[in-house]
Amino acid sequence: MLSIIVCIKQVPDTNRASFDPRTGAINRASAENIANPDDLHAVELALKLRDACGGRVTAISMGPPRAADTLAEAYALGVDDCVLVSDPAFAGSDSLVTGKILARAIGKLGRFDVVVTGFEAIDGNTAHVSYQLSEFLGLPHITQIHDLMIEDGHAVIERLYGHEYQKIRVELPVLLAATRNTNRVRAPRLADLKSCTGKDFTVMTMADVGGSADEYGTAGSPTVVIGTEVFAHSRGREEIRGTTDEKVEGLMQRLKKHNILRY
Amino acid sequence: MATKFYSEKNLKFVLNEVHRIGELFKHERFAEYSAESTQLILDTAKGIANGMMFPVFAEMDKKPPEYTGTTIRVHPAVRPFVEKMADGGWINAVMPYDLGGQQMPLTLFNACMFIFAAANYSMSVYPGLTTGALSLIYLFATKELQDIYAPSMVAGKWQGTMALTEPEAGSSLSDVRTTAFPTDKGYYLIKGQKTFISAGEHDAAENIVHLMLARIKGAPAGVKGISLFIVPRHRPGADGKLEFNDVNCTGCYHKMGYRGSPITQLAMGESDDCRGFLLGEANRGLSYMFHMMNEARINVGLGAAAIASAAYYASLEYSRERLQGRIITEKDPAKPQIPIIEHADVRRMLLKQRAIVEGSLSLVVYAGKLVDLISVAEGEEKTRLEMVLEILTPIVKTYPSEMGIVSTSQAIQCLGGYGYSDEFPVEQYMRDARIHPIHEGTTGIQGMDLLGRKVTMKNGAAVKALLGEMNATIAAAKTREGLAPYADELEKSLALWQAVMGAAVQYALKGQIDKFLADASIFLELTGILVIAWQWLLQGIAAQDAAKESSAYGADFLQGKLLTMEYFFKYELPAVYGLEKILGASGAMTVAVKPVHFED
Ligand SMILES: Cc1cc2nc3c(=O)[nH]c(=O)nc-3n(C[C@H](O)[C@H](O)[C@H](O)COP(=O)(O)OP(=O)(O)OC[C@H]3O[C@@H](n4cnc5c(N)ncnc54)[C@H](O)[C@@H]3O)c2cc1C
Repeated sequence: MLSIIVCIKQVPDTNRASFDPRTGAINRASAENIANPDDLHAVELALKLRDACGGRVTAISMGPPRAADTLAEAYALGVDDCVLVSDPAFAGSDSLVTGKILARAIGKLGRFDVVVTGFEAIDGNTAHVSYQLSEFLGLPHITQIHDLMIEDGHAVIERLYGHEYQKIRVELPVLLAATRNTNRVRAPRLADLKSCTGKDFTVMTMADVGGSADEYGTAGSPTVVIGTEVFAHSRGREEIRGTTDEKVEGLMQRLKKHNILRY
Repeated sequence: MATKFYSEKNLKFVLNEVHRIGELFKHERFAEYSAESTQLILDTAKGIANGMMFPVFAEMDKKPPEYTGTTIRVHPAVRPFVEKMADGGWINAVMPYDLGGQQMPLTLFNACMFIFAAANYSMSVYPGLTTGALSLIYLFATKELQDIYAPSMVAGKWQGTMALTEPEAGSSLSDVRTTAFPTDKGYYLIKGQKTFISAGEHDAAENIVHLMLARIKGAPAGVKGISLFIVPRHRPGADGKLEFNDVNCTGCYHKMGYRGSPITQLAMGESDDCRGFLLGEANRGLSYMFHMMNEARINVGLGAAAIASAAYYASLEYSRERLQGRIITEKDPAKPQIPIIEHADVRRMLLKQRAIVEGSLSLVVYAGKLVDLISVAEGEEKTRLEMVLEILTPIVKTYPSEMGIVSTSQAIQCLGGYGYSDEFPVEQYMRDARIHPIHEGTTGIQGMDLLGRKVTMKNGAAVKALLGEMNATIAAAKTREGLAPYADELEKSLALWQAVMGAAVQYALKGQIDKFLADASIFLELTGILVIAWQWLLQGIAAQDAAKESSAYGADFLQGKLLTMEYFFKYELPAVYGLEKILGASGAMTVAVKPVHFED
């Protein structure tokens, strides 16, 4: 029986949001809030693990009260319990402090075998939290997961790392980071979609997590944004001439130059 | 390349602001649904459409089903899709809880079906057909038959079909000849042929369950002698294993569009061993079929609106990007070219599409809501709502279908030569759309249904009920600044509609039924335009209300709504005057034209 914790975050849908052209800041009112895409892959990984080995999956989200919508979505996908970590003192926390809050909250939830997070969130794209959380929890941190099995207290993980294929074995507990290459997220069942919004979840505030206001939020966050720049991507047209072989070669060179093809 | 096939925002607007789906959740039957779960369900439908359907939309057209001599090989993406639909509970979503369904409001279910059909119409029909067949089984089959067939259909393993059409019985179902010979073994032996049966055979399902019309040997001629049967391709044998039931697939049509789903020819009883199981009472088959005809016809309108939606967004995207020409007052050829959306004529074509797509969608959603309201209403209110649905059904089926062709054609026009080539998806949309005025009763049949049955039913009760609904909207709009002129315009057109109806009925009163129905399709066209104008007025009201609250829709969207309404009233509604003139002037002259007059 595994105890699995999965961290999910509610984010503005940056693919469809508008940005302030001067500051580069996202116009939050213009975007709908969605579950961070990588985190849905984390939930899928957690559910697959539970379905294969038995156990319980607890979804945990740090955010404002409306992040409960994202927890409802996690319920619809099939997680067993949900925890919302929410306190006005947490507002404005940077990635380091977020990692700290999540680690402390997870620490209060009791024994666990696996923690799963998304690799990065689309609103900040820092990909810090997963690493920092593993540091705070003192867990091995595994990324680029393609397949996973649990065997007598160990996780056996297949990962594609750069141009290498690795198979590794690591003792539990462990922290895993999922991306869209990890799996395909299931579609929730209608029956679960219908009932998920009425389900109870645990709320943890600063009083439950411990610590004081000066450790959290903007006050406790060392990260300072010193500047934001907006990049304009312009489209260009280019013709590759020559024989078919030369054209293919030319195309390959360009794809490599732009890091689209790497090897 | 086009990636958008429907507008989430507009779908939400139509569901929440125009037709207020939330009102349904107050009824006990739908109490487990909420605004939040509606959103999650729509998001899930979007995920399935984006993940499994849209990516193979063009490929399913280019690699259509192949007849192997015994079965039909369909695209490999079909099976996992149907499995996903079954697993998610979509196949029986609208069935009641006690039958294992989700009791989902049809309004919401249809909104999801709209997303699926816009993503890939051909693919969306596989589970949809099973849903239709299942509802007949639940309504009319014995418990024993339900237990044999329903579970595997709900699980997506067995494909359901509607097997009505025969080579000699298309529009005229009273001429069905497939025969059911009674036996003393609890089943009938079926012999005959069916044609054009959608998903009548394919390799993405383990079995096919036909809901088939046949005539019991010795039954009266005409519609009163038709019965409804379950005729499986494979029947469960005594040992529980499936055995062949003598239903042979003899071919698969090659179609101009909608090519991802197989349309089959079937031969039953070639070895005198095709068993059919009677549903309900003998000779009542056609009336049973009609139980689900309203919903089947709403589905056609929905599919047509969805395809037109996808074509509209493809052409909109292109019109924003394609640089061609300069504004009309710019004479300097050195100035850069402008996106074609800057040309008024292109905007007119886009507005036309938007007016058709969003007007049709609004009507389709409203029709679904009527079905939901009927399921919870009682007494006179129920009868009234039933009347509105009855009279609207031929319009819900036909306006989106006929105008879907016009709309997808306009999409091609926006792309010019590129639209005519298969480099872009719009030509496929136009081919896909062409089926809709044909299946589930041709436009001609719908016209006769509207004028010959619905207008006259219960002494005009359906007309009265519909007028009641439309007049309520007109009254509401009259009090509003900016909308009153449109309300007046619609009111004037309604008066014209009533006059046209009155004139037509004169033929009927004189017993000249041929003249009465000769121009029924034109009457249907005229009625369709009025009804969509009414849907646009409803949308105008909703847009004004939404603009008052600081709404999530955004000012441009709402302004665009009001402008599209204005477009409809200025460019589309006036067609009713021409149609009225035609109806008045024609004198049903086509009745007098004889086949010999087409000589050479
Ligand atoms: C792609 C596709 C899928 C289909 N799927 C199914 C299916 O799953 N199950 C099924 O049972 N059928 C199916 N059909 C059959 C479809 O319902 C029929 O094609 C349709 O009802 C018309 O019948 P028909 O083709 O024989 O045309 P006809 O009935 O021969 O009609 C030809 C023309 O004559 C007109 N006409 C016919 N009778 C009259 C009349 N009395 N008065 C005035 N005008 C008339 C029609 O309006 C039409 O314009 C499908 C057809 C297609 C093309």
